[in-house]
Amino acid sequence: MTEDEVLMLIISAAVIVEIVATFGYLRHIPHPFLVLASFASLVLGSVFTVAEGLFWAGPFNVLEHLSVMAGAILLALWCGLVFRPRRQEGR
Amino acid sequence: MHPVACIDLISILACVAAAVFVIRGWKGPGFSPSIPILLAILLALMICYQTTLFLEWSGITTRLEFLEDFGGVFIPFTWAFIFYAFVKNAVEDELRSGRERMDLALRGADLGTWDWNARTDRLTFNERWAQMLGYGPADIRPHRSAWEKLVHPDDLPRAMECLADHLNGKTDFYEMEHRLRHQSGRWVWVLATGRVIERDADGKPLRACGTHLDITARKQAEKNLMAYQRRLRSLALELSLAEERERRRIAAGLHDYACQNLVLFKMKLEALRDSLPLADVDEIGDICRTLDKTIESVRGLIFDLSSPTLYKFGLEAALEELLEDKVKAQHGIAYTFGDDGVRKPLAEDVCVLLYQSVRELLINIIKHAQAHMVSVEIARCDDTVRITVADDGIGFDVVDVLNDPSRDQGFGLFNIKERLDFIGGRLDIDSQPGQGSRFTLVAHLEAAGGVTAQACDGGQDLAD
Repeated sequence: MTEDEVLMLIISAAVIVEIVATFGYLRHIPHPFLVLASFASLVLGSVFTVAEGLFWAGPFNVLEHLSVMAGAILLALWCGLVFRPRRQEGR
Repeated sequence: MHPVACIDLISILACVAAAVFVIRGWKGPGFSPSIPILLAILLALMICYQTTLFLEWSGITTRLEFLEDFGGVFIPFTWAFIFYAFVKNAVEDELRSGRERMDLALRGADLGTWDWNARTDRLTFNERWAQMLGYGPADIRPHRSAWEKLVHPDDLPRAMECLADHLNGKTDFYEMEHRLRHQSGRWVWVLATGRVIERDADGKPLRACGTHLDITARKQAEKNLMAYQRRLRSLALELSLAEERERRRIAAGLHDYACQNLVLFKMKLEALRDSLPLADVDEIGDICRTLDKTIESVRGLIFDLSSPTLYKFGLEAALEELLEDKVKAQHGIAYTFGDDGVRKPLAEDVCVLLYQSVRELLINIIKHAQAHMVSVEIARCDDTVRITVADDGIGFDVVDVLNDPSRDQGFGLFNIKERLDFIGGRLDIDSQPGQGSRFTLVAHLEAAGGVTAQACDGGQDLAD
């Protein structure tokens, strides 16, 4: 466990507080739960990173990488849904 | 390849795909530009982070570990900015749609808006406000003095008073109808409403906002309606006076010809009776008695058609006669009559109208009130005459009766009220079910003076 990993976890916790406080507005973004799940997966990856330094290094390391992968895939999915080119109306 | 490196490779590919989506659909979702930029930064950081891990786990190099640390710290930071940007975007959207809704509502209601800053006297208007007066938004100086110059001079004092009352906290909101000068010179009626929305610690107004609605068409319609109503009242009064004139003409005809001739026949028959044989005297007596009855009924008819007393002796005498003949003699209802004895000069049409009105009230009392006692009082109060008709009958609900003129009694009262209103008088009604009724008729005296009998004198003597 390094200082950077702990710092990452603290910043992630602060972002979670921000999300909870502004959830009413965040609900207005398209597919909000997809983007929130992506962020949550990355936070989970940080948690596993910290846990990896304390015990069961092997399994937690794999879980960390899987979480980050899940976060990336969910984010790609969200970007695909939200930023997909739209057909021009009337054509 | 190490399985973890495979996972990292998939993560890299997912991030690259996401970056491609963002770059291709940059303007698509209608976000503010900061969101795609922040997402691009996030994806770049994630690609760096995953690439470092991939290189590390695939055994290629470990020298890029600083990139892993850099990405690890800045990825959550970037997420924080992204969420902040989302919130900002949502708030701006809400404000924008709220403004759009307000614009649509104002446009739908055809309202112009004004916004006054009390500290600087700056008064700003929207486009519709200026359009109502034929101006463009930039044609009117945004200052209170510009508005004051546009208000009709007759309306300005009232408008200022109304505004001052609201600014001083006497009224909850400002609302008044006044005229504003159109660019073409004509006057536009507006309904101005508004309220102070900001005050300082001492309660002094700092800012007020409100709306203007063009009500010129409504005002014109109201004016037309009033004119129509005046014409109708005038017509009703004229009709009533024409009816009275016609009644009088018929009564005069009956009196001067029919009645006189009947009296003459009777006198001639009585003269003949002395020269006829005794057998025929009884026959002549019967004819004379029949003639007496006929003369009496013709006289009653003359009285019912038009009271000769009204024209010969005036309103007071005619009313007393009406009470005696109509109320007491015909229906056995006791009465009292009061007159203050002061001279009451009345125009002939007013005199006739008051007599007709009292007659109608008395007929109503006889028909509906089940009264045992009726009182009529006539008195002069300054330059008005006041007639009070009261009874001890069953009374009625004034609001119900007046609100439904189609009812038997209601139309009569409505008619009296309207006719009195037209000549500047009034009818006050005080009645409750079970507690009798009291009607007060007020009319203006004739300004030129003259005695009652003279004013009402029609020039024909019908009273013998």
